[in-house]
Amino acid sequence: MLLPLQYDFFVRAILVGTLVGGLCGLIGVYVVLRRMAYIGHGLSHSIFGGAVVSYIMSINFFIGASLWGFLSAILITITSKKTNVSSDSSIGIITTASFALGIALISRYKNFTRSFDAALFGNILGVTKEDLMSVIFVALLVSIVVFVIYKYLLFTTFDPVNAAYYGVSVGWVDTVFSLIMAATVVVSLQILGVTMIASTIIIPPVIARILTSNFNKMVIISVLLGAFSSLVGLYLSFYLDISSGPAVVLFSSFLFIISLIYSVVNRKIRIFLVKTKMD
Amino acid sequence: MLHNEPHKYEFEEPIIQLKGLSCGYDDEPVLTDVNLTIKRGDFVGILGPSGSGKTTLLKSIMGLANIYKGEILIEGDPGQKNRSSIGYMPQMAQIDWDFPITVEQIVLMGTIATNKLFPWYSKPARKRAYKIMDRMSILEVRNKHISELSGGQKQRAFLARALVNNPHILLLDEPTSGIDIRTRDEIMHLLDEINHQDVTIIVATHEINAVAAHLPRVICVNRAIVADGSPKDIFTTEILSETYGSMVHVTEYEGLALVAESPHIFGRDISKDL
Repeated sequence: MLLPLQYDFFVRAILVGTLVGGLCGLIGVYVVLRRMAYIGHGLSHSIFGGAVVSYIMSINFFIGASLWGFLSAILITITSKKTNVSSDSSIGIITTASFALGIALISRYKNFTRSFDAALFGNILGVTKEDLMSVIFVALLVSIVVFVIYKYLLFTTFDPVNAAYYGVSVGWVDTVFSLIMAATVVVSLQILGVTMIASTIIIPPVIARILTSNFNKMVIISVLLGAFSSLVGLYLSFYLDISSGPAVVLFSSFLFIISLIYSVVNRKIRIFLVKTKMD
Repeated sequence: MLHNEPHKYEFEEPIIQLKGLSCGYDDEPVLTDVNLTIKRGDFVGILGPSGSGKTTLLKSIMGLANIYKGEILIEGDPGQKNRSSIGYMPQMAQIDWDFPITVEQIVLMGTIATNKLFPWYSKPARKRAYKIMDRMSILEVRNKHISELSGGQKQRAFLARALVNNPHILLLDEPTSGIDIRTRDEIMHLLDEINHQDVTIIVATHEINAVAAHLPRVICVNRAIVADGSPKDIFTTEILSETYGSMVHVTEYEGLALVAESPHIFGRDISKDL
């Protein structure tokens, strides 16, 4: 258990991974309850395009990719609200086009020194001190923002149609949420990879929802599950020598299956108890 | 508790005035040239088929619809500066009943505009929420998940959210849609109680017999106002047929003007099997 901790890179990866897992669990609660699972998936692909553009233009990766992700989210919202293109269609078009741009640039500029396998599937080897600092910064920022706009976020998630009437600026809340979601996806790229982020965002809150009907408990369970899945996933990645993204996703999928079995068995037991009571 | 005596209006001043109003969403007017005055203490039904503009009328009063022409005065105030004086209960079909939220959280949402600076709800807001939950008899179930509530409790939770700021006007969109007869009567009696405390109530409904026929004043709409008056005066075959765009038969039962169903029998004849 402690063996890999003698390597500096692994300690950094564990810290980054656990923070990122918890962060995805936190954002995920709102993503799932807002039925935005597909945008989580799309956004990570879109940000990949932004990451490549930032690299080529020598812009700081975190700033360039976050901005790109945020603008994609805003573009998706505007397209689906102001035109008759549905939101799932606009996500499909905008994020895939952005991903395609990234791939096209990579194939055009063949002199890439950075491994983009890591960006696609996650890699614990390349976690730098700068990555760690960025994750700590984003985790703090997102937690503070979620805390400060807690009641607005909850209202617009539960009842977006009527929140405006009660004086909530729904547009602002949605914009801030897009921003923190983009930032979360960007700092998760290194460990989880573009293709794996969506399920890391979705699985912890879905399990939490199976376990509780209380919103605050759902948030806590989701954050803890996200962090725990990443932690175990990274160990699996180290010992089994597989990419970190798939390791985290496979472990959280395993937890999801267990929670499904729990919910089915729990229901059967309750039905059985009612039946025996009636006999 | 049933009030056998109708509410004695002590007020004559208008609380809502719509003057030559045309309103709708985006580039499509839904209602045109609406002139309407509602007095303080009124209990009014807005009756019409689906898509007739009932909800749009409520939304325009709330300041959520586009206004193309005319004006709205709320308590003599043009524009929508007086929103806290209006409580609104949405259609229950709009609600995601699986959402992990409790009764107390829903009621507190109604107070959100009163404490904008802090992430938590203020003490006075909590006090008001507890008071209204007590009045609505849902204080004991305040920590329950919304899906665990009975039909009546669900309605009362959202009614409490609408009433938590002590509004002068209460707007309800199809409050009796999709609920059983007992719950419907419970809600209508509760609204009557609230109306007796001088809250002006406007109910959008498509239920003629169950809701509209029992109200003192009904406004029939179908993209414009078709008729306005007491059910006794306006529930005629002509007016209701015009409102619904289809033949509606009116009958009378114990002094109430009611709509009779056309005698159709659908499906296979099973009289021989029975």
